[in-house]
Amino acid sequence: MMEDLNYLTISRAHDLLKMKKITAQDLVKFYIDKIKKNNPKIKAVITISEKDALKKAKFIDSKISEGKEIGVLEGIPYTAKEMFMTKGVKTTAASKILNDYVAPYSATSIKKLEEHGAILIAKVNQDEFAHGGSTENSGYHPTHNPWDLDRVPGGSSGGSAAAVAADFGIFSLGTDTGGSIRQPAAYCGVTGLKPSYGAVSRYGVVSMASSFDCIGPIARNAEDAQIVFDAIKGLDSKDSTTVGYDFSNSNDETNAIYYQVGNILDEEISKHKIEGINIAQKEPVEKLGITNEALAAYYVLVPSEISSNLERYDGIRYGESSQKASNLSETYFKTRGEFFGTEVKRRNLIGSYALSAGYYDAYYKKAMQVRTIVKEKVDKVLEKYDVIIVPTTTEPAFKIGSKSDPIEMYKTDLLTVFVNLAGVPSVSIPFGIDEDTNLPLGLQIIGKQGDDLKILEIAKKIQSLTKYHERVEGITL
Amino acid sequence: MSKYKPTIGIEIHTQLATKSKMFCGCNNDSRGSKPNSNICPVCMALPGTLPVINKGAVEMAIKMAKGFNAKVANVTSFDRKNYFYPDSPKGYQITQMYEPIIQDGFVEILIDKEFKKIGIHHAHIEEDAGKLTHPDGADYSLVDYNRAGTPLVEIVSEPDINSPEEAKRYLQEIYNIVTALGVCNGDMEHGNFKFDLNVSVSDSEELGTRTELKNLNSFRNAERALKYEIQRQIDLLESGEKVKQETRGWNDAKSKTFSQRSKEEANDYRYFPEPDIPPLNLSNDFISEIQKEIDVLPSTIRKELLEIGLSVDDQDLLISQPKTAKIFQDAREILKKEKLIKKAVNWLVGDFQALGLDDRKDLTGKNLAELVKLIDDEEISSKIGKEIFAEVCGGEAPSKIIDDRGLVQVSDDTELEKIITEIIKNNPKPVEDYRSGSEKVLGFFVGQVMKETKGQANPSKVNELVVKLLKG
Repeated sequence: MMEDLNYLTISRAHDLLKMKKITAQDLVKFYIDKIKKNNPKIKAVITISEKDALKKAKFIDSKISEGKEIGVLEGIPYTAKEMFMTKGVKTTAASKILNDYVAPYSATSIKKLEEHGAILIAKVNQDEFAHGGSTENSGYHPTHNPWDLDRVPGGSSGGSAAAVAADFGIFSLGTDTGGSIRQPAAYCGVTGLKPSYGAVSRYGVVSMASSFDCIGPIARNAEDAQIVFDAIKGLDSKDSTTVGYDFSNSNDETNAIYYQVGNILDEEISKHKIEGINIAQKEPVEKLGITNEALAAYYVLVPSEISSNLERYDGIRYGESSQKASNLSETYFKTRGEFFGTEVKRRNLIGSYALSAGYYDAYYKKAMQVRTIVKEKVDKVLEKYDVIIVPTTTEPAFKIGSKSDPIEMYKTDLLTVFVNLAGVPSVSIPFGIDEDTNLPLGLQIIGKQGDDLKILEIAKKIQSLTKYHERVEGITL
Repeated sequence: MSKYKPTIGIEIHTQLATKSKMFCGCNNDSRGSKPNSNICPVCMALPGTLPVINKGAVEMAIKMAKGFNAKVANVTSFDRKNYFYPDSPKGYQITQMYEPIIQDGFVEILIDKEFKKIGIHHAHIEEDAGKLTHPDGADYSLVDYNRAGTPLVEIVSEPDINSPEEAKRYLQEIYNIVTALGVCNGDMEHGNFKFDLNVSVSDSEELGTRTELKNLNSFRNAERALKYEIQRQIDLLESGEKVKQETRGWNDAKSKTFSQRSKEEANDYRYFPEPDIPPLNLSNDFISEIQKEIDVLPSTIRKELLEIGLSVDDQDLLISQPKTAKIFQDAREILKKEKLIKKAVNWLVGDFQALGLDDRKDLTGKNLAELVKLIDDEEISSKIGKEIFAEVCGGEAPSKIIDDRGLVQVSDDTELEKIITEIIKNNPKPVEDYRSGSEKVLGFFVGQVMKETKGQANPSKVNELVVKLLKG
């Protein structure tokens, strides 16, 4: 191979395929070799789908050699979080309860990517059922941050962000319920899009909290994220919560409000004059006055939905079932006791409590009211300004094992959760470098509901100026 | 029972006659299917699957609302009822707790020839569970998920019912409505129509402690179970004991209710809004478009039948046969006069019922009206009418039948006089008998005339002419 295949973007890989500088099979082999070599250190990948990937690549190669046109995603290798149903390839949600579970169908987003010719090469790690912000809660093993193996990649889509940062495939699919795409993207120095709620079908993706869950790409840059988003978005007759957004994008001058979070990234944001974007207002994030409230409401509402969404994992029809049970109630208690992790149990308990008779009004209902207020506030700000700019996290990736208190872990979502309550889109891009650790940091660009393409355009503009997304020195492989 | 007044509220589960299940594309009719052959990832609650509302079920509920004189909610939403049981694949049932689709209605039941209004608090859409079987002596149970996800509408009455008889009439009325509307097949043996009865007794204005009789599926048993339970509660109170709030079952063989589950053992279902299904907006235009399709309601037919003085049993009979009721409606439209309408109804509750379902399936209101008119106009005798009725039920127009066979009634005086004169001439003995005072022989002469005319003579005319000619 003459070409340097490291850290390819989608369009670069597409060009190489089109110009016959490489074959799709070369590309698949390149990534699978890289996974085999480096995954023991990173532990991002759970299952490699080598045979199937090579078969698909071969088909695309024959298409290219016949002189046929190929689409921009054709032959592009990618990975997907363990939450995504992939027919024929194990889907565990990183939970022991779904050990060896193979779905009989594929998620709508996976199907759409398949129709576009993208090639799934591996399934990647996450916090069990997406409950967590570090991928330490995986039922299998923690994933390590490619920038510093002692640190977490973030979570819950930590496997996806680490895989993109470690160059295990060109992009990855993740899920974002309270920051699970953006926070790991920030920690791993990659770009992550949480689309508007309902923009991408949830069908075939394990539900965490149905009214919050969003499916989106983690990619090398905003352009790649946009290509993937274009392929997976749209109404789905199998998901009634999908919305037919009009994703039109005007290229007018953009007025932004920037919320300062202490001095994080403050210098960088002030330093970089972003062409075409006017930072019309700058305020401390406290003035928005919703981040703490949103976090509190989130940790009532999300566990409530979780407690219900996880009831199907009962050891009756599929998945693991306790061998120690001798009657029906033991089947439930022992199966869920043996195969659910600590955080999953914790959230089940919180949610069941919040929904129980006598507490519903005080917790669930109140939290729903907070959710409405948060949405109204965010919408109001976005009436005045086109976008909100705010750091993705309050700190860079933390050390593995350093946040043993669950509340400390929940706080890592402080700047991302309110976005999920509001249902608006947000993209996190690598921006700035933490001086103490030399680790990447992330910046969110948040838009109105349906303005997904607009925030991606802004992200592209910023990336054409800053190049933080191209930084790979410091990745310890 | 004089001192104690029973108060009864009823929850009815009707299975909707949709093609597919409530939230997936599986066939809604699993009768005769092998266990677990009529299932898919959605109704098996495989990871990642999501429910999608069956529009047909919503339309059926909208029709029901009309039948119950109820409001259709312009915004209706679904909720989750959480509980663990092997027959519940998702671990929760999708139902409607907060904004049910049907709200605030009533039906009228006929009690002692008076209409009594029974309020319907609401009716909501929900999904059925799978079916559990416990093989004898086995240390396992089996689940069949074919039924899981079948659409149901649960109809919740107000506690307006005050006797077992009223309860039975209420159940029948609801049954008649849902079957007449075609939204429920009404197959009670297959659980298409099941109910829970809440009953309490009290000798004051304050309601007594209630028990719930669960899972009954016959009108007769509902009445019997209520009679038993009311007496049981009265006996308890009379002997100074208290009624315990609990769920009870009905043992048909022993004709007794028995305790199943006490209030303390009741589940906390942790209801909350179903986040996978956004609230459903139903515009008034959409609602009236659907309700326009309804031909006629059983309550309307009941009132029309009552007006012409039909017995309650016959009312019930017609109402319980939606197709027959439709024939009645159409004939009524044409006939207009009460006397004639009554005659049409007599055909429907009489000769019509004697025919097999297949033999009578092609009777139309138009043909029935024509038959009634032909007889009334004395174009044909009622005897001929009876003879050709089966053919009319086979779809043939009466006028065509009598034309084809020349069956028009003979009412022409000279024609008949000629025949009668001939008969008198040939039967001197009976003539003699008549003239010496035996009125009985009149029948003989009329019979002879009818025989001669092959039944086509107008009987009253014949009678009149025979008397006139015999008297000479």
